[in-house]
Amino acid sequence: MNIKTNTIETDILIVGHGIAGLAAAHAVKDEDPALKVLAVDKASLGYGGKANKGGGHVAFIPEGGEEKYVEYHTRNNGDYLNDQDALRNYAYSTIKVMDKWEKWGAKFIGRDIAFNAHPSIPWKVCLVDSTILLDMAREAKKKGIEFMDKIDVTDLLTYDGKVSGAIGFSVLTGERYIFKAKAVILANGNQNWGIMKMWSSGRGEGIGAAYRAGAMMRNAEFGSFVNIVSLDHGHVSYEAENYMYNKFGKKVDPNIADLVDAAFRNVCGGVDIGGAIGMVMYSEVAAGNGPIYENIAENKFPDDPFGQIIFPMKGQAPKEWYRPGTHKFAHRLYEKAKLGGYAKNPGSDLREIEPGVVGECSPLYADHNMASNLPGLFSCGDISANGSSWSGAVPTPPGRNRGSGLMNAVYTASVAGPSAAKYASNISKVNVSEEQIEEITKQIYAPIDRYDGTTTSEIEWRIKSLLQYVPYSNYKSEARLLKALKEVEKLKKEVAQVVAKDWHDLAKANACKSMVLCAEMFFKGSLARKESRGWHIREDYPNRDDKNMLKWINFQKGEDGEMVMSFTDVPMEKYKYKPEGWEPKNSESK
Amino acid sequence: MNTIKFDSNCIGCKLCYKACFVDVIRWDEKENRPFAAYPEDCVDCLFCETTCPQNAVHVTIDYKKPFPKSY
Repeated sequence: MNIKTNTIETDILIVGHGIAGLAAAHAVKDEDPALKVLAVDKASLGYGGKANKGGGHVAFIPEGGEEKYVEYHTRNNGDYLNDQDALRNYAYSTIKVMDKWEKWGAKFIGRDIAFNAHPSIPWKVCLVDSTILLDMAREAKKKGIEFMDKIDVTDLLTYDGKVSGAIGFSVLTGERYIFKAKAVILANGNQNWGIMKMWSSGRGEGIGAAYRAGAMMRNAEFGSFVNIVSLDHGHVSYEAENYMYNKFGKKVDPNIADLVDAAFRNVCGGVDIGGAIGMVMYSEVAAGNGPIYENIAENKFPDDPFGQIIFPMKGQAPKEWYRPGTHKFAHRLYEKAKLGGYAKNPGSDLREIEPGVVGECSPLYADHNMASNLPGLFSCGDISANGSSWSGAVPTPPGRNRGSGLMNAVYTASVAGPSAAKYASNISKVNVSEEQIEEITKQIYAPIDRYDGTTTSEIEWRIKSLLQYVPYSNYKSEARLLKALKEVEKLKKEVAQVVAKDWHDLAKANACKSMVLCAEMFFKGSLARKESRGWHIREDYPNRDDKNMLKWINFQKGEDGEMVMSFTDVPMEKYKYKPEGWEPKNSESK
Repeated sequence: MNTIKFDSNCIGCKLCYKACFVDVIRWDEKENRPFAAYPEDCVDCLFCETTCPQNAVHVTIDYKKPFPKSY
């Protein structure tokens, strides 16, 4: 194929320069300033990822509270599926991470007056402004870290079983980019299937690249985070879950719905919006009580003082919490996008809402050094938030509490960076296989050469429809999961014949591959997990099964290219916090 | 489909082009101006609007964009 090719050599290639990638770049340079570091993203430096479009909350565990946090999280959020050692590492690291992060450009707002984000659990939150990525990028450039924008990295390169680089193309020109590197850190986010607006542009491309190279995936079945979406404006309606009414005007309690089996009340929880919300809303509608409405007059979120601090859509935060960038962004979103939506459909204060699937499927496996099972491949941030197992049976943000997304990104980056740097110091020569490069190149560009096939728009719509359908993704059952997997099998065949009309569309074609792959892992993992635990809820298995299901479910590409599932027992006998009534098994499966 | 318009007081700083994380806005190097190349992918985050120092970017939101079925 006659495509202009750019070959770039570096020591550490970081795929994704959002918050995790930027932090990893800093961490590598701190470990070994002599290493060349290149971070590549399909968006523009300072503006990709999602850290600049969210709340900017930073969670940290104060000194002395670490063990209480480990216990709380294991028992209430992770539902005993946590790697408790990894969780402990996280809990004991957050203060040190913030100190490093400040040196990397972060300007914390309210660090000294951080608020308690929970009535009894030691977890504090302060803020960063929406300029956080620009601030970190500025400091990164001073260290000689290099950046490239608008490049879609589609695949990893391997040689003798080791990761030795990556390959991709410019979304602007279509030119091929071959990156040769001693180590690669994937930091390009998780899978949200593009359902909910503006969350992130990540469509699991790194997950796809890692899987195709042979990396193991874990805990894919927990990628079903839900946030309430307003059907008027299409964005999240914060706190709406507390002001829900069914069509008969009866208040719908997100925590204790009449239709919810009592067994669920023990497994779904945590201080943030629990896994039950999708199920609760679905149950109401299935019983003939829908649609569900939010009383927007009762919901004081934009007005209340706390709301003005954490996401200032209205009014202004007090001086000590004021963030000019977030203030402008939140105000515009509220005044234009949200109020504009309500104004288009004037009517009562009761506005229709649904559970919007954000997903956050984050299954790339990572050990305590943020290394994958492939030598030379590391990860940080959302991409492995589930795969590292520190947070257990929950989607990202992995702490399932406000501020844990950013902290997870920077903490895991602070581990991945030095790990990758140490690994690279033992690599003297980087080899790549020309044969592999040519084979992957054909796969990358095939959609642009095709005339007959399914369009990316159609595949996107079908995959979104699959995951947004709450009875498939949130309130699961064997029958419904099998139906979903039937559609996934069709999509797998069609995505293999997807057509792309230009380079932007070619990037969408790559995204479609990852979206279908993540859907397959999500539904297969959900089918295999015959219980309800954390955010994974099965109508046909409403109870938690600590006897048989204290396992992590893994996926990996097999020799014949098909997906192979395996199980790893959670080493509960080693852990401090065990479920009530737990007894050790006589033998372990791998 | 959303529409994105750019006023004539655009100074060619490229910030809206960079701010768009979903590759909706592209840059016309010849005219030194942004253009909405893929408005169908706009998620009305309005970051392009708030990033523009000239208030020259205007997104008109299509509230009828389809949302997949939840139940």
